[in-house]
Amino acid sequence: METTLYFIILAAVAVIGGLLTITRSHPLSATLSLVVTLIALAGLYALLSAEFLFVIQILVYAGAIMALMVFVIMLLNVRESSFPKETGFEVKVLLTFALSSPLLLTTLWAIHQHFGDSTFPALSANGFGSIKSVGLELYTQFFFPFEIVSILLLVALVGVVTLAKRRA
Amino acid sequence: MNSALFTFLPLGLVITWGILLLLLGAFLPNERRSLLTSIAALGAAVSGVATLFSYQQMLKAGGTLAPLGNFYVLDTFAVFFHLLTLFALLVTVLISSFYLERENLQRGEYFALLFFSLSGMMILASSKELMTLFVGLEIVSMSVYTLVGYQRTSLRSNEGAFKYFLLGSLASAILLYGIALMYGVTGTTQLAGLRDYFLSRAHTPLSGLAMILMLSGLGFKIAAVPFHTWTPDAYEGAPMPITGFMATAVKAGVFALLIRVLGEGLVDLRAYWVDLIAILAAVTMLVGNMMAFVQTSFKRMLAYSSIVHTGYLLVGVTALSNQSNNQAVSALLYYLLIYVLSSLGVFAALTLLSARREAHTKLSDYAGLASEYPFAAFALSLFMLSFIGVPPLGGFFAKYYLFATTLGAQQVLLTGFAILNSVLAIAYYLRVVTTLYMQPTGEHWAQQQARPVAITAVLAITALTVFWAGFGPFNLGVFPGINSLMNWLQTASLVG
Repeated sequence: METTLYFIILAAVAVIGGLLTITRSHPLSATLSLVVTLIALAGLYALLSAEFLFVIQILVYAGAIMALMVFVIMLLNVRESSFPKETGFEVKVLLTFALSSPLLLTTLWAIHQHFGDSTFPALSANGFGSIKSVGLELYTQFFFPFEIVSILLLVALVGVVTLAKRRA
Repeated sequence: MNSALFTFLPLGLVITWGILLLLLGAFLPNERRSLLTSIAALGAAVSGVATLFSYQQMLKAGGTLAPLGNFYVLDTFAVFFHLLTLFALLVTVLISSFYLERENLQRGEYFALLFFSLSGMMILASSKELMTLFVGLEIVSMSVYTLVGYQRTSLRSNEGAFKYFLLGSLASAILLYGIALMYGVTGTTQLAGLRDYFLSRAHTPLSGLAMILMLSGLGFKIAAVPFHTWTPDAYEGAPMPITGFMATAVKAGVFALLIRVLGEGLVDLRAYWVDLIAILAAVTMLVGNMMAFVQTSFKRMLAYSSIVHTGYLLVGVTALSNQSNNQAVSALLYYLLIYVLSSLGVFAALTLLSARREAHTKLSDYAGLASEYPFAAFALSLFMLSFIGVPPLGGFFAKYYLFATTLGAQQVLLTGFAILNSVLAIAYYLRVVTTLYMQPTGEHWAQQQARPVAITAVLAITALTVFWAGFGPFNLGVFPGINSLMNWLQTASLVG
């Protein structure tokens, strides 16, 4: 019961942070709202006993990547006046909600249909979610997808440099 | 050397070559940049030979090589896509050399990104595990986003890349959400595991939702209507050889994924997805045809034409089933082969003719081309006729085989609609032919002189193959090989 309460609080914080991220017009407030979402997500991972994921989420996403984004925004020195004027913003947000809510409600309903009356076994204390068990999974069973992620990162890196560097 | 290692030889070579090209691009002096093309072409050829070599090892091992379980599998289906995408890469490299020189865009990253995206496609064709497939799809998409926006000074290129990136990322997110829900239902990401699960258990609303989300995400990537809106802009904005690469290799790669997921993982849910795919196919063909008809830009018309061909291929997908004598996979592969070959030819010709900064992409610019470039005009008309499906060209036989298979799968109404659509498509494909031959020659053709050997060779080879693939079934004895190709494709079935 306690866990459910924590889950609801964290999930609500994550959703509100996400909403603020996409509705704030100033990039800095949007980024800081994203930090809130990411920290709430880290809390959700902790609830699932995924301790390694929790630490990484805080360190990498809420910490390093967000710091980078804030740096970029500060370097760009954006002002409210430099944004294009958006008209009917509230209407657009409401319309998006109205259009996407059937999908969200269907998802909720479907999840309830499937898992509504099932009970989940308690985690046995075999180190699930620890660095050791995650590492073992990654380097034994899932090493192929894990290795090709490095190609993906390389491609993203090369792509960004190609598109952004000055003409030689 | 262990025969299991041969499984990874082609993939490893392609990745290594990508990194090599990246390094060479950084260290070669500017005036030696043209060397990159030769090295890239060599890389495609070497990887092709390696694929054949690993295919031989696969045959020795009894038809499949899977040293890593389902994460990376080499079977006939995978080898077909490896060879097809490698050929598309080789052609793209050859026609790019002329294009990059003309547009002054020679840099190592271009070829490196092509090779990396190819490695993603090889993973798409070879993996039977959803997470690996997703990473492969992202590798392909990321490289292609960059390549679409490669011409940074062109506003159109930027627009196309940006739209493609935003919508493509959204599609990836939807696909991933679908995969996550599917994992929630079945507890596995292996396609074989999905199949086992649905063999014994019922389809619930949640697995249905997961399936729909996965299909929507994949629909974006193959540009099926109503998820096609990025296609014309991205195809128009991309450099011409990249448009060709997207219409051929990328499309083939994503279809490999779609066929694997539907034909292997979710094949026992066929009753649920077959109508969805049928509706998607019908809408895709109709809207694609109507939009292609009203275009004035040749490049945009080809974008819509590729959407229409996605529709035909989706018609073929409805014939996938779990019977072991199923011909749907071989029909789809044959159709993809002919489509890829003719599209590569078309884009090779357009790369040659579009002039500096792609000044000539309107259909009216190509008026009377036949008197100045008789061979290119002939080849272009041949490909258009093959797209229509005029006998005795390859396109006819591909369509015949595909539609015969779907008729066999009781999709009578859909097949009829598809045939009707291929009749409608005559209108805009024939307009190209009449523009090329029956209108007064534009003055701008007189100034263009360059006729690079590589593009002419590509045109000749693809045109010849399209001819050969059409005559083959009549078995005149003059065109050997097609029957053995068909027999080979029939060994590529996924189940049974």
